[in-house]
Amino acid sequence: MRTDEGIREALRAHAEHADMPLPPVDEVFARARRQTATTGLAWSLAIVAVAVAVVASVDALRSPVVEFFEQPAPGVELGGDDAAVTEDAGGADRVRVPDVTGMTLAEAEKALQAVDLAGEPVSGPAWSDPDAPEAVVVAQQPPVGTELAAGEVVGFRTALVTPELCDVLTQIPPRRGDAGDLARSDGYWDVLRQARPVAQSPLAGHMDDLLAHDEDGAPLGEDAERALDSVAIHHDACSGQRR
Amino acid sequence: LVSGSDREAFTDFYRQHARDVQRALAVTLGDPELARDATQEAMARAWRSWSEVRTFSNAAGWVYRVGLNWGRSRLRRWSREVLGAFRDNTVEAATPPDPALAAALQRLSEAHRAVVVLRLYLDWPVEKVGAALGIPAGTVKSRLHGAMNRLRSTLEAADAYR
Repeated sequence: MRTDEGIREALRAHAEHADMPLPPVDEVFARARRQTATTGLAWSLAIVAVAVAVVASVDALRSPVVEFFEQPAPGVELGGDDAAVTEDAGGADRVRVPDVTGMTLAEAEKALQAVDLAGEPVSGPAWSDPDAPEAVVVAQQPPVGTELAAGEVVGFRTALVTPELCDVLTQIPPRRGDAGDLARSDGYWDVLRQARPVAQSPLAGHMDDLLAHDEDGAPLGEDAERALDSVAIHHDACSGQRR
Repeated sequence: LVSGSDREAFTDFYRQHARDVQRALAVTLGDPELARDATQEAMARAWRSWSEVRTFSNAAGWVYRVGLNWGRSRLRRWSREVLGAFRDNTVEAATPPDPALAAALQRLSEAHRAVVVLRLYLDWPVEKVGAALGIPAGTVKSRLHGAMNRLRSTLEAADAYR
């Protein structure tokens, strides 16, 4: 078993091993001059491109500038595994957050790394929890499609979707609409009562809220909406669906 | 206008921090050659904006971040082009002193690796790491906690097989 200090020492040795000769500072000055020259040329080209576009038509004005920063071009359809990448003026890539709900922790980590984002479980089982290899992502923040700078973190909630829970929840067929549609499915509330004893937090609490509403006729507020979503997401995960 | 004292001050800054930044980027990006290029790129940008950068409380952190963004963009372009395969097949990396640690670091996300490198290798305080990466101190702590747990468990499994 390695101690933190042992890891720190090994990291130092690793970093020193990865070292390469440092160029003299004069090379930095020369590179800065080249950057200035390149930037000047880029501005000149951009000004010419804009001028040409203005003459051609107002619609054509947008594309030369946007194409400079965005790949693929606006309007191009992407496949399921593709990621759109943009680059801001500071050089940081921007990527769109993929949908990781329904994935296991390992799958979610891989999917986020593929687009150069990081993941951070904010509640529920964490990356390193050896007792939760079957934990799945049940919610993520920010949502799918949000643009982030590469390297930024997507937070998500994970939950244990156990075989016992899925045996009960999958008595309801896969949903076709939103969480409310699922709640209107035949047998929804009976399934909820059966599933409650095998559900774990936070799903168990959400189910309690819903059952209280069902029994006492308490009004469905924002909390109930979140609870319906929570049940639906677990149901999706059990049914092999991703939202 | 650039004065002689500006040039002198930047040269001091470069001598003081460039090697640390280059090593930190080498571990974070997993590519020493790219890290050297990224450091040079970021240092050149720092020189071009020196009147502003020199006032930063953690100018080296700014250079690291700019270098990381630039290096990351390069990695992505390489991975999309044939050059990625070319590099992988032709550049033979020397065996690291601790292959298990090298492998465990590569299994971390880049965001987690960056926190580990800045906190443990450069020994920067949590607040300084957060400022360099543009994230709150609490996020630095949680990422560090998660990364260390992961490193420990991966190393433990690897060491058991040695």
